[in-house]
Amino acid sequence: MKITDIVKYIKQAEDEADKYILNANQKAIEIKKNAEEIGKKTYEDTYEDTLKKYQDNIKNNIEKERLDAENKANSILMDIEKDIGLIRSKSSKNIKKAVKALFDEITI
Amino acid sequence: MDIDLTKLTNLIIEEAKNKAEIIIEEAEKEKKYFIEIKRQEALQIPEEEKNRLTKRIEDAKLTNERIIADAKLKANWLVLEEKQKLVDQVIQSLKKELNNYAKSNKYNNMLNELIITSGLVIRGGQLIVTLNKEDQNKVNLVELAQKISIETKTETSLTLSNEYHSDYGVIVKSIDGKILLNNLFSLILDRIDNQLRYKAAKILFT
Repeated sequence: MKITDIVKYIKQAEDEADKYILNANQKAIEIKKNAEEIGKKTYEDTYEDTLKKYQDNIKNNIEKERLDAENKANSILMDIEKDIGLIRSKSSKNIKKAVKALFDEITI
Repeated sequence: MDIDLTKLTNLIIEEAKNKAEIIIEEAEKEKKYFIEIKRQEALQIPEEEKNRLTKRIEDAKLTNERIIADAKLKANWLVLEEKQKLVDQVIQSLKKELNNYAKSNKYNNMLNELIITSGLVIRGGQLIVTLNKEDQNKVNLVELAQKISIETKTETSLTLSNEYHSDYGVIVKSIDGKILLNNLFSLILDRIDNQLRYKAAKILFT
């Protein structure tokens, strides 16, 4: 075989090899591009989900604390109703005594 | 082409294929890594958003504190209102008692005492006495004037006014109108209202 043929075969093999590398590089660029798109979408979806969970969590806590506060307020008013009942029953026994004391103060 | 040359060209192509595979594998690895980094980034809430929500939490806490403070305030008001009602009840009963008392004989003594006390405070002299119609026959003004004269060492006369009022008690004034003592029941009660309410509250609530 002539030396020129040998060089020709090797050149052909190298050209074919370059094509593989070129294709691979091209594909790598597409993969990178695709990664950017998927990455962007993943970011958006995940962030939306993360934010929603975070906001929901805070909203639920706020709502829970509001209900706790309202329950506490209702309980204060209910307790005071009981206290008022006690004041009423205790004082009603002393109304006559008070009237008499004031009456005596004025008339005696 | 002999065998060695074929081997050589095959080797060149195989190496290229392997290199190409590695390039793609690396790209895939980078893709996975990049997506994971983006996912991790998306799990972080930005400080600005955190601050906005923290502000909402703080506002909500303030609102809740106000709800409880309002309830406590309302509770205190309800107690005070109830106590006020009970004291009012005592004052109303007292007024009824005094009206009943004014129809009894014991009231005559009180009326006489009120006239004498008023006369003494004015330090005697020519005095005008205003009573209600009902009470006008219950007093002996000459006798009362004598008592005031003795006590004040000033000659005193008590003249029944042509006017009359509808309340129990008495108004005594000097003839020139410069000094007036209003001892009508309603006015006595008004005058010592705070004192009466304080005493009533003390008896009712302690």
